[in-house]
Amino acid sequence: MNATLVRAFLRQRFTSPMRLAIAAMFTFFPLAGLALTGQLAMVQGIAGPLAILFAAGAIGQDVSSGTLQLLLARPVTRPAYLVSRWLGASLAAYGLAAATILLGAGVLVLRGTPAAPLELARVLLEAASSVTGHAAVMIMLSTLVGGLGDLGLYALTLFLSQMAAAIGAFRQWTWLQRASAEVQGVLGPEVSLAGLAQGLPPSWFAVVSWASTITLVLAVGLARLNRRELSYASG
Amino acid sequence: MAAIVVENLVKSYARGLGGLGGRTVALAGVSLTIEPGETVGIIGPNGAGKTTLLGCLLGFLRPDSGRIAIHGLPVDDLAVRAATGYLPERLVLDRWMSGMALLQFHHALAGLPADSREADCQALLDRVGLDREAAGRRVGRYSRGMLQRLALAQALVGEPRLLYLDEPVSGVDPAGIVVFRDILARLSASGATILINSHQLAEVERVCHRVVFVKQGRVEAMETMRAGAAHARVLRVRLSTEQPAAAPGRLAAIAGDAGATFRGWSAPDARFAVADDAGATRLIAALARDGVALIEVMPEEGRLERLFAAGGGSAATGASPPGAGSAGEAAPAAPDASPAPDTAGDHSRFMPPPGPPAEGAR
Repeated sequence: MNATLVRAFLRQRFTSPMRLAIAAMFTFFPLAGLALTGQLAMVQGIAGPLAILFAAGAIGQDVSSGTLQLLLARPVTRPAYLVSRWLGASLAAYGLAAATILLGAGVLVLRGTPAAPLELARVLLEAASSVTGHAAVMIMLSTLVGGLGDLGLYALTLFLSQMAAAIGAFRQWTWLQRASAEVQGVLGPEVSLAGLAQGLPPSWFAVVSWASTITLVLAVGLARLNRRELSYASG
Repeated sequence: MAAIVVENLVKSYARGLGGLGGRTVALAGVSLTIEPGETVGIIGPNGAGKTTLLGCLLGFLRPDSGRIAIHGLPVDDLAVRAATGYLPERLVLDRWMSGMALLQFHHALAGLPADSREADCQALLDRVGLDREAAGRRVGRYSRGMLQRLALAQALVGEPRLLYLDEPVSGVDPAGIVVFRDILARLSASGATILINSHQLAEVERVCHRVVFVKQGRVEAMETMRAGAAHARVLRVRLSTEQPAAAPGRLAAIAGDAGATFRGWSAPDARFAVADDAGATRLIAALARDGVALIEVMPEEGRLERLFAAGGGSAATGASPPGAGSAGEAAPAAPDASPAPDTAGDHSRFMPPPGPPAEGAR
């Protein structure tokens, strides 16, 4: 991990007007829904999309523009670069997601229906798991294609897996449904802490599954990045 | 220990999807040795493999075979990278940062101390001639020349001992070129090893100790330059045909008095070798003073232009066999102090490099 790279990435993401505008849309509508319904659950789904937004093109844009050459001419290893991008995207997305969730909690207090502390903790922790998971997947996809191609690859994979799930359900092919569910699980690794409010511990299987998915996608991304040659001649 | 050792480097690229279209050989067995403090130019036609060679030296590309050692270390060693500066041909700087922020970013990436960061970066901006207003401006709003200067400043972060410059003066105005020469002369005098990939032959001839001509992925020739040799040249003086031509003997005498050498006569042109720019001025003044009716004076094309035009290789040089012609294998030779030769056969190819010039030699 390289703190300079993480800081620069955060600055770059938070000075991009387009990203900030989309992020504002992602947070505004759930907050508005929360204000209307009084349900904290309205904002718990923003973490994944925010992670995708902030991680999109994290590596692919550096490769396409050529700035990666300048970075790697410095004493920075490729693993450190990749992990820094992942952490940067996760921090950016989680910062905004957590702020939105806390703002939502504040709105609930103003409405006179404050969220239970355990419920708030659950939403914040689930957001953390979702952000880190989605960011890792996007970082991996970003090593595969240039520019913002990772976004397209994510959408395509999600679409195909949903199509496959629909076909599986229609033809009653359980293996296809299972495979589609696995692919979708890999695309959005997160840990459900639904039992926390009842005082139940999280499922260790879910935690290990989430951690191993993140490890796997980062390892694939690193393998790809290590093999990538950086030259317009090589393209 | 040599600064850079390249042994029998081979690099090819896959053509088509998954390499189904075969492979294009970019480097076909390049061998090269560069001594510490040497400034070496890499020239050659488009597609010769120059950028690929640079990419391999920087660790951006993986050679198919062969070996590269930088001060005895592999190219991706962090100690090597910490001592490396790189100016890319494509000015791919982070456009959202200000010039100062970009330098500070690279200063931090280079692992240099934070307490001297601002002062170091300001000094670099001053060195390349970017003022404070430009330093605070977003890189995306820089002109091409300003980008080139900023990219050079970025490459100079941390006073690198190894500097790779890809087309460093492309798009730079004359004042910027003077700044570039001065920076290179100082770096070279301090013992930095500099590799320049450029099509600006006159500039390469002026600043480099040695030039490597790459063609079709091979080192076709090496040319040892004399420090400061850019000023030494052959002048072609066109005489008026409206007056009786001066006798060659008289021209030779005038040239001798002016410190130049008469090289020959082919009506209506006379050719003279001069040691430097001042020598050219003295010769022209002497010819005019002695009543020689000259109507035009022009320098003949440089050594590298002739080398380039000849395709880099004459029968004397040919292709460099692996390991041959590396500078480190031959005995040192004194720099050539005579005016530039006027025949292609005078090239001191495969000669070892001269020592680094004294400060201010160029």
